[in-house]
Amino acid sequence: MRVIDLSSFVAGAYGTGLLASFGAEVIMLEPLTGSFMRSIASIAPGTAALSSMVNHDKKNLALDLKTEKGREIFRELVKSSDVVVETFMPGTMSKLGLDYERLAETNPRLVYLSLTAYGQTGPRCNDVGYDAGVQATSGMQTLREHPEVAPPIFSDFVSSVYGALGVLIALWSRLATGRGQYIDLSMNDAMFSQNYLSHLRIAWEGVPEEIIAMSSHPPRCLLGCFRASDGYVVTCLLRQEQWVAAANVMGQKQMVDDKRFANIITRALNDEAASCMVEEWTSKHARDEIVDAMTRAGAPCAKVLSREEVGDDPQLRSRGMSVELNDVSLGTVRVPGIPFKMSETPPAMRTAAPRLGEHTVEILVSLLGYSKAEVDDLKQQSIVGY
Amino acid sequence: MAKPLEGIVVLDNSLYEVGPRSTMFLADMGAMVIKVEPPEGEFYRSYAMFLPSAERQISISNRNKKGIRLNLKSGRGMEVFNDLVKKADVFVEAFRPGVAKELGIDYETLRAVKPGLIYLSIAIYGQTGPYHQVRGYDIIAQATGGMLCYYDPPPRGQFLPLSDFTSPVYAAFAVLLALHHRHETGKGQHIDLSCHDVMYATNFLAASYDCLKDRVDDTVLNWIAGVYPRGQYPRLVYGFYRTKDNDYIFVAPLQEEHWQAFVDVIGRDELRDPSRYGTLMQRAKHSEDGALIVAEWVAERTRPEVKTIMDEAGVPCEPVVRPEELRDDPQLNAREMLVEVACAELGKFKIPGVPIKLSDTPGDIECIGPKLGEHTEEILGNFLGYSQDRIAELRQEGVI
Repeated sequence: MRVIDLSSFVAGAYGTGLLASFGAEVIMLEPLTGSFMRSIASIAPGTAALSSMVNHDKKNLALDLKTEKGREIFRELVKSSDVVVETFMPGTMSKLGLDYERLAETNPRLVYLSLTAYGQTGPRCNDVGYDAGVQATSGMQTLREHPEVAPPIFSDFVSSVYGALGVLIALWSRLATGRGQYIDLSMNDAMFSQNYLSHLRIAWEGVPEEIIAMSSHPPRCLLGCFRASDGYVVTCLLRQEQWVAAANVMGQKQMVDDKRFANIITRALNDEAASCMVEEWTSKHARDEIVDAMTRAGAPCAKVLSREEVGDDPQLRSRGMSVELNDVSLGTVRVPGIPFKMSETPPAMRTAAPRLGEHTVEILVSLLGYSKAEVDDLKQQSIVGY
Repeated sequence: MAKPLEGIVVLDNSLYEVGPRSTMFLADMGAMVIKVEPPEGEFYRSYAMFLPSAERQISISNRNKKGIRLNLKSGRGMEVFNDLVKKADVFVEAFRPGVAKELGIDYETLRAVKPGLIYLSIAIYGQTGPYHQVRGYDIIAQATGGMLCYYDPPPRGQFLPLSDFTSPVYAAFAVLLALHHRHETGKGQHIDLSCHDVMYATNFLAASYDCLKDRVDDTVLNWIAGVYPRGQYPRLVYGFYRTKDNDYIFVAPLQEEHWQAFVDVIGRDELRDPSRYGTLMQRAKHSEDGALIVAEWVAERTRPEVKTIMDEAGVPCEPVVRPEELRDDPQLNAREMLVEVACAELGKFKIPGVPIKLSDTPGDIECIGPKLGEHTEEILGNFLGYSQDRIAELRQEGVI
């Protein structure tokens, strides 16, 4: 399976990276001046390492699509490809004459994914989309405790997985129909579709606000974060036996005897008092101590790991979630692995992000049949780069 | 036009959200998903006793599926179950690791019943590793996946179930990979998905920290992998503000052309100082000072006013849409992301549409999630070919 990847940042690229991990030949196509990601790296050089988080195991072709010859090379490449992924503003590919309809004329088996902030239709479709903007419009940001703080990049990653899923579904469909198709994916749709706290509110029209609020954000004593002597822990004490187990660990007889804490409903109604009792104990103990004791008693509990700790978490380590790739100029780069294991077709992440134009010659010569002299000539004319 | 996954049969033994939302993607695209519920039904159904609308939640994640009610703890129940497995392409379970084996429905057992079976296990920590036996929920995966450390101190009680949101998409993706592999080789396989791994894989903060920590200075590190309030994205070029009408709005004059237009809109000379705001690097360095000026400007205007002004100037800007506004959101409605459904017991309501828009073989929403045991007879009769007498007998014995 060959994928031509035109994405310029995380959105789209993370999804084609997943496909590359399972053996797809992914050719990233970049303008001769480099993508948006490289422009960040030109300001702060070390950040170039971030590219390997999404562009590992890909080939790189530097090609100027603004020239007619560049577009001709692109069309030749598409003829022998299965998938095109692009993340430009709606209309951009059409202006270049490289939209799905025209490419499908010469390759009807092509699957073409457009992944944009708001999709190809609707009143917001021409908005310049950023990850945080999508989190704002899809109803995610409003549910956060701090809606005034920009959240970490999230929708770029998740929408990319939707994109990769869409590609595999379209390829599955192709097995039956012999034809590819167009996928119009909106990050905003993807984020909204998974935000089931919002669905609850929409589907529960007419249900009292307190009940909606409690269902979207359960009281802290049921599901919450508590101070420890050296950081924070989270606990999930939904079932009565879990609450009782926690009470025993904490040696708080009152947590069991007091009528206010007799069941899930009364605890929810007396959340402040209940949470106070929990925190009174947790704040005097270290995270490891708390988690050990609670876990042994059957009360779900975990450490809140800091950004410094999480990559070395023994569970993640044991699952191979921190992958080391060797970058020729940057040395060893640590990136996250694939979050599921497959018994027959395990993923493989082998190479760091390619340099700009690293595979230009290889692709033009071996794949498209150009001679080395012709490629040199194209370089002279600034149509390709390497 | 046939839907893309027509002909694929999925047996879904999972409850709550993560498993059902994984198979929802497959059902939307035409797979026949059979939701197996124990006699007492899914957890949400007990909720419905005191809150009738609760059952609407099941109807979302389980839309387009068939529902059967089956007692797996009886021998006869297991016979029915095995007959279903024989006809399935995909099996999904989300028990604590080890439970499926105790029940006699682990991968090794079921692949013997149905060679070529794709078996998806979803667990909070996956099937291996030092914590795999720990009982957990969404926020446990977030806490140990580094998703809660973005704020210091972390949120105490208001969490987004990010793992429940995201794990299902990876799960459906993995199933499609396995289906393609089976198509080529005839071989099924076991998929072991960990919600904790998913949190780390999509956790830009922790991952970028690990990737960058020895490569960039602390200032840059805190811009990219910053923990609020000591570090975060420079608000002046990528930030949220509170409006006069107590809403929030996102403004991102990150690119040079947008910055110029933005400065003209705000109209304050301080922001034109080339020694402080001349380049993106300088804007990031003096972000806090600049953002205070912008915050003042935004606070004097309502959210629609700010949006209109920024749109006219061509500065990227989006409102923080409140939950109660989503139902009528013009973009979501234009994209058919809100679909009205109706049924006698639950009334008329809106559910989210199909997010992956395919041009030729699109998915759709044919029906909402099943009532407890709604299709038991249909599945046993039409799909497994059981006689009416046999079905009646099974019902009498309390197996179905």
